[in-house]
Amino acid sequence: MEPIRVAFILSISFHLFFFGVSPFFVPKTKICSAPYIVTLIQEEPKKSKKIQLESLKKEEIRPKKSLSIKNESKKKKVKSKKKIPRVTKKATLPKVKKLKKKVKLEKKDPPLTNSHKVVQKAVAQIQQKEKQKSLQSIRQSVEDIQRKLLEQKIAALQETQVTTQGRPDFYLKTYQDQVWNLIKSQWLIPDSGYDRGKELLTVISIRVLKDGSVQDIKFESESGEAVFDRSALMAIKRVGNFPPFPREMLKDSIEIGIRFFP
Amino acid sequence: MKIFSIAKSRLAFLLVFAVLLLIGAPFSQGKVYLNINDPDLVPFPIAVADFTSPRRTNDIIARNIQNVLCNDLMLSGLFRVIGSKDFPLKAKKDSILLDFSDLDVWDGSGVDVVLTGSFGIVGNSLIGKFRLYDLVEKKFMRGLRYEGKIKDWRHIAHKIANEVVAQITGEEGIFDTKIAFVSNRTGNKEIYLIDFDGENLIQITHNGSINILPRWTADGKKLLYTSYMKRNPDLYAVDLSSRENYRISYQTGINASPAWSPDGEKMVLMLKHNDRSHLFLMKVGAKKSIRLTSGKVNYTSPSWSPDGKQITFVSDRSGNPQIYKMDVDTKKMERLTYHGQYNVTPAWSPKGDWIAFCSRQGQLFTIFFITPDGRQLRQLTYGACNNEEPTWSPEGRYLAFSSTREGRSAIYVMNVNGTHQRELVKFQGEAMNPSWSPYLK
Repeated sequence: MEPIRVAFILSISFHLFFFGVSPFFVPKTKICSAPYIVTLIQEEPKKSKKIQLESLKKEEIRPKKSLSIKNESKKKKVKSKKKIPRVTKKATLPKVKKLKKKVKLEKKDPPLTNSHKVVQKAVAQIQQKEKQKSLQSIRQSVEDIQRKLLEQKIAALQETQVTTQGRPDFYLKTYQDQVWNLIKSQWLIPDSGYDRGKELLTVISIRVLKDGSVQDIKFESESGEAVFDRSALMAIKRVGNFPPFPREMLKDSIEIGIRFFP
Repeated sequence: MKIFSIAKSRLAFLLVFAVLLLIGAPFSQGKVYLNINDPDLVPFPIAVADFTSPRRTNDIIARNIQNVLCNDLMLSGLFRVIGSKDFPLKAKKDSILLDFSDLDVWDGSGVDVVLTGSFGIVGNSLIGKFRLYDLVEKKFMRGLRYEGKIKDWRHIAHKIANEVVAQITGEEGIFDTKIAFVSNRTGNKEIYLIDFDGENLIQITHNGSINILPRWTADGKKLLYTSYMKRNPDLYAVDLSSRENYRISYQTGINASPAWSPDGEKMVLMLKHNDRSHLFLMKVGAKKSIRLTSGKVNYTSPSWSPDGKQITFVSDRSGNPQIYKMDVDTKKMERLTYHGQYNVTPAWSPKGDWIAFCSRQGQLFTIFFITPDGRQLRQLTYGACNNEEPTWSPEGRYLAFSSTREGRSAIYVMNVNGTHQRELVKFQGEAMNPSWSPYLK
């Protein structure tokens, strides 16, 4: 039993010493808060598996959110700021629990002198201060990391857009919408031109060149109703030339299949 | 192990997904499909210039041809005719000269095609030509020269209308086809012929007896009908060019409702057998007929499928008249209608997609369509009147039928989708038993 007590007292004294001395080192951390905290986050995973998992999850989840935010405005950045406190609380929880346990243990100690009380108060104060400081610093660091991540993701997105032609896809789609609108506006058929009780489908494929001119108009499949097929073909021919491609589309020609059905 | 297997299946799924993506990528890049539906239901716009004669000497006949032609195009329901008064200014002058020096003047007019024509009389014949221009692709489409008898001017107009339809829809026109029917306008039931546009009424029989159920031969040169001329309802044929009548079937009892096969080599006829009406198959040149049906029930109203392999007909073998079909070679029979208690006069469409028939709904007769497999049923006519005896135009776009919508029975024409219903011809007396001719060469 004795060695345990000795160890216990030793640990208390060590703690007291540590907390008593630590305030002298605080200013230093204030000066260069960011790097210190970054290292904290890096080190933590090694210490406990739970934190590791948590931090991993956070890292995984958040970028996805930031992905959906993409290039858009400050509002979303504000949102991400709001989310930070929750995260930081979670991150600091294990520490605080440990500390609390230690404090409880101290309380259970039979000899409670005035000096002890003073020390306890001081310890509590220090703990609070530490909490606040660590909260602040963690917030900052998380924000920094988030920003960095955002920036990285945006940069990566932009890169991928350029490389996989993600942005030209957007232009391609709007161009296809234009094509759709033009053909639709020109498609007319006499109501006596086809049997409206039947399911009909005519597919015509066209190749539109960069300058908007149409080449290779051909039937991919016919409906069997001559007037219906003809009306579909006429709709395309009535449009004549489509608008030229926007430069961002980065294509020389596109092939479009048009399915006509009543 | 379970977890492992789940992980495995997930992996497999991911792999498949990735592979699909990889395969799909080139296709998605290659071609995109756009879906367009719900077109504007508007007739094709066609501009028809004023038809003139070469030295303006016979402008009347040229104008008459133009009017008949325009009427045909409008009756078809396919075209909206734009007259010369609505032409662009610069096009007016050229339109009389038959050819356009510059088709660009039509830009923005919203017209797809323009038709010009010139007809004049030289000696005893009518000579003329027409031109059809495609204004969308700005090119000459078609031009033909006609020469014929002056009295056939109406026929020439129909021929031009046919050509226009063929050029624009890709389907042969039916403006020169005729509809045979029965009318009692002289007091007796006689056979008549009329053009698609309700003009050119011709009385075919003049025997003062009862003449009913006219049917065309496959070549459109003869008309078959049942007449009581010699008391017994025998089957007769009339040659439409020589107007000679022949008695072809005269068994005791009824000889009626002949159906000529599309290849022109066979005929199915209703004859009396053991006090019941049965269907008999006769081949051209063969002396003996083959009985297709048997039993103590009635069979009537045969109509051939366009491939000439099956017939549809009416039978009361179920207790009341219903529509059946039969494979002519195997004599295998199949009932098609189960809707209503009284279904008669089936007519197989020229495209083979529908069988039109007449069904009694309450006290009224209504025209229905059924698919040859009996799966799909469609009602075509509505209203408090009888609509009976549907007969198909040779391209399958129109139906003629008899209707009592104005009290007396009259012949009407409508589109296959039930639209554009019009009375074919107005006269005193009743009209019934319509039969649309095949294409007339």
